[in-house]
Amino acid sequence: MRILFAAGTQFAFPRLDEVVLSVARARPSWSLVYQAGPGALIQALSPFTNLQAQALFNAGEFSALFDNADLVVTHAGMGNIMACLEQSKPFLMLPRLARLGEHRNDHQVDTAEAISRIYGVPFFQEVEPLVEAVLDGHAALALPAGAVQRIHDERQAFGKQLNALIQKLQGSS
Amino acid sequence: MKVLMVASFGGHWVQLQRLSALLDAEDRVYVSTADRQNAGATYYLDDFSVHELWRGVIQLPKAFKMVRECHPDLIISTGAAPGLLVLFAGFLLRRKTLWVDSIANCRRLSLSGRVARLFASEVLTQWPELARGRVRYLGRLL
Repeated sequence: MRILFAAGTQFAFPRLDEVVLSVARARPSWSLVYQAGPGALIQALSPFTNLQAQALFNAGEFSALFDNADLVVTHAGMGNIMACLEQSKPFLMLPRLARLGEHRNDHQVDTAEAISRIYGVPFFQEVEPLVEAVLDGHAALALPAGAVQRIHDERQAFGKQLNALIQKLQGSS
Repeated sequence: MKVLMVASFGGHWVQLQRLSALLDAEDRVYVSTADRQNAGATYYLDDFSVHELWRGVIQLPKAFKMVRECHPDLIISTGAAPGLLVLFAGFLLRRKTLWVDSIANCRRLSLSGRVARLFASEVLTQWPELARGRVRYLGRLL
């Protein structure tokens, strides 16, 4: 099993560090990669031979790691969520919480709830159930339901409306 | 039609690119934030939060310069605060401006979006339940 963990690039996310550590300990034969973001304890993560952790991978490296992963475990950031849905990549979300200083507000919780509602992708508020879901191994088999077609249809419709609006805007002065 | 497209690095930038793919426009010029591994834009601003107003104010001349130099028919931003800044410069220079609030804001329009509502030509949300008054829903990227 190859898992990519992605904390986002703006703030530290110690709870995801914990998840990564727990999985690395429990599954020495799995291949884990962690884009830990700024302020992560890279040293604490380095003793594990099954884990490659870095604050930030460059865009090319990251997309290669992404393509290789059987499962992505991510903060509820829209960049990663869109990439997973567009490419039908199985993923799990751990939204950042404002009360733990993980973000400025709780929009990631709202995002995770909404994405979960529409695409049936699981999200977690706590470390332990997320660790269990990852260790269980079945998460990697759960593709986002009908995502590619749905996204295509949504965008076609949006594009039409958007271009009509812009045309109207250009016509007015 | 020439469009100046602005977004911070990360999810905002990804949304801007997806939006760009939907547009009928001959010419697109990109603005993004200078941090880290970001590439592919013509102009860059330093990233800041809408709460750090002064960091926006000091970059306003830079935003003016971009808009003057590019002279777009339309400026589009998917956020966040740096996009708001360029939109504001565009408003002052009498350009058409379009704010597309991030799909991440599904319960409430972002603070930047609420400010954009005050001056942007059009403000879009990607959640139908948030459309009211000047804020419209015309579809979404997901």
